Amino acid sequence: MPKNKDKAVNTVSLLELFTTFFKIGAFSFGGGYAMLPVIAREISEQRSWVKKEELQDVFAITGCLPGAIALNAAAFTGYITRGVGGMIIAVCGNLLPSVVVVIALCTAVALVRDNPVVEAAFLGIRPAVVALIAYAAFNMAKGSLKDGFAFTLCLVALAVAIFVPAVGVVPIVLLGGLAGLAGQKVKRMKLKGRSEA
Amino acid sequence: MSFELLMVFLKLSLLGFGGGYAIIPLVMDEVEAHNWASADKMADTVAIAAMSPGPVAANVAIGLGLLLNGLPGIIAAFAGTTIPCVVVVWAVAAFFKKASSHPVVQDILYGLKSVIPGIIFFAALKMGMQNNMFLASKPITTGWDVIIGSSHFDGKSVIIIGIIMVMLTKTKVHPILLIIASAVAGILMF
Repeated sequence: MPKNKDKAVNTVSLLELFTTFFKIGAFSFGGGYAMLPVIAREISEQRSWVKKEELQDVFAITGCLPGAIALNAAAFTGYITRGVGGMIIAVCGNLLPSVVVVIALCTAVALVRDNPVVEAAFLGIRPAVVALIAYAAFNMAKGSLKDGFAFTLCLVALAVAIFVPAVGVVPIVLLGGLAGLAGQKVKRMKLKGRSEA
Repeated sequence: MSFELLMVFLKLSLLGFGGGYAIIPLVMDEVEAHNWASADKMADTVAIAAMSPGPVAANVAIGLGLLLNGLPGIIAAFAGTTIPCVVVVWAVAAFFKKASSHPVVQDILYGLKSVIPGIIFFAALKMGMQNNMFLASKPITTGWDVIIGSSHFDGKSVIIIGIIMVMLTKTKVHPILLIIASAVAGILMF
């Protein structure tokens, strides 16, 4: 049983918001979508700050918005429980463990970087990072490339990135958004035309 | 320097749709344009970001901020990551339900979600080439080098990429364990 079930939503304390998102930030690895189940457990199952039906909305909003997905989820939960102040507290709590751990790891790596063993370790890690990024791409492709047009857009974006690097990645992403808008519009017009004929 | 970092992170936080690894190609582009870090340092920063808890996109920003400008760099990364997030969520939270189901929003998201996997895959390709794992016995300056560049393969790196890809797709072994395992493999192989 969630222990705070009868608690009115506006009585969530700022301290509790901070500690909850600090905990989520400290103990969830893999970022983004990998963090969402942890967030769901903390804010809905254990604390009922967000009703189960509303969770879908939280995750829909956080996936659509730019920026770190987990951070968006923290901001949104902070907002619906304690307004703008809650949003700031939740976001800061969520990011604080990252700051501490990244500083510690980067500093440690910088100290031992010239050691030949560490160098060899990083020669092994770099290909693993390439694989991690490629896997993230495949994973996302599996979820979002559901028809031929989406698949074509993806290949065109990849080709432009490789062969016309002067375009830059950001314009490709933005043009992708426009192409999606145009493509779907054409598709709908075709469907409409067919149903009228 | 920190102001420039802040501006770049503000921009990336507003344009980085898809979160996490989707932001890496954008970061790589900026790092290259500003000539901020070598390809191996960039790869190592991503490795540290992936091994650290919390949102990967934010971890990359923090790691890069530290690498480039110490504490002020971290503050710039923190502000550049959190401010857009808070402002955007605040702005859309109120009318999100209506907006998200609007066909125009849906169509734009459809387009974004279609191109982003391509861009992320490009980032993986580029990181591999710049670190001399494959197809790059000479430096990659234009995309054409992918095709006309000599077909150099660093066997050991390619083997690690292959094994990690199989582990990621076929097993549920945690990515952190895979990074640690590949570090051990690196010590044994290189």
